[in-house]
Amino acid sequence: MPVIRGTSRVNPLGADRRSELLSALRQELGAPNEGAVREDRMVPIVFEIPIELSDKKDVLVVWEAWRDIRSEDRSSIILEAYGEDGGSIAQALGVTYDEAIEQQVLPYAVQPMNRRGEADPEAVRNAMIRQGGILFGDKKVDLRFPSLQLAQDAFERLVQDLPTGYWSIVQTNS
Amino acid sequence: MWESRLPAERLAPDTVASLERASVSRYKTAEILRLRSGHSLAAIYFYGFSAEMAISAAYFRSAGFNRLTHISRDLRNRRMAQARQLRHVDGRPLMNSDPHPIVGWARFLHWQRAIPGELEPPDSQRLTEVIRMSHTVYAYWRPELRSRHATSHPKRWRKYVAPSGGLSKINPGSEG
Repeated sequence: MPVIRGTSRVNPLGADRRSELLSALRQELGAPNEGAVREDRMVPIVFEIPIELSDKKDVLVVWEAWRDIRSEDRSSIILEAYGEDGGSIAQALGVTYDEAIEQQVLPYAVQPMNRRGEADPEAVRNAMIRQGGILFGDKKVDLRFPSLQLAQDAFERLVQDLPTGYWSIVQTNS
Repeated sequence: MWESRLPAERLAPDTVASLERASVSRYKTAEILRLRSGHSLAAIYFYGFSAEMAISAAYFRSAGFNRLTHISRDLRNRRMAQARQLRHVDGRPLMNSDPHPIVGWARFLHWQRAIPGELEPPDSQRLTEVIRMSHTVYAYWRPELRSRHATSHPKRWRKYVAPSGGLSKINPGSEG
């Protein structure tokens, strides 16, 4: 009879890898890349979402580095990165960009609505990246948020940042 | 001032209190329908929603939400996303992609209660029973049955009523 061996689909997270992720996330929390135009999908994008009528918040970290890492490890790294502030977190959720789209946790997209010639496409793209836009495909940017309030706040900042741009908030899970 | 939003958009967000009240209300409606000839499948429809609301309310209460904290659709989606990431001991996600994942909510409730450490045996037994009952409820409440119009004979789904009633009264545990 042939021997059929299964393999575990979940790899344990080694101490070195864990420390590396924790350090990268702490660095982002300590000195966010606000205003910077990142061209790297390996930078975590952190959303803090207040819970109404509560002193708690949800923290959502969209990061390609989470791939192949267990949900429990992702949450534990996020909580540890927040240190003493971790007590105010109701949910620490880590997702990759693909998971975020599939699970509909970033349902509010802020999209440019410019006609040709109204605004420099590169300036529009950079403005979206500065607000937390996620890079995908060939130089494309997807600017998404987990709550309508966060999307509206970003909308306001984009209007300030790029007065020649036109923007629209689109809810994509209804 | 004229209100342009749709009626559904004007509803207040869910809370633990509103979910629990709705669960009791749907259960009472189901009981009325069950006793009326020809409405047994409609009764199943309401029993299922009653159980789903009771279990999700128990989850949120167990996760530290007070009775009046807002539970928006986005917030609920994030909880469901986490439940779909987490794995059961057999390797399957705690929650599947069904839009009304009643068994998934029951497993997620169990997971949430077990986070601080070992569960007390009575709590563990009770939560295991909730999962068992949610399987029974879902077996009768699955989408194929919800959308039928034919009448089912009460004797054929008698086993369903007790779990639905039990789930509508669940308490997530001694701390809940």
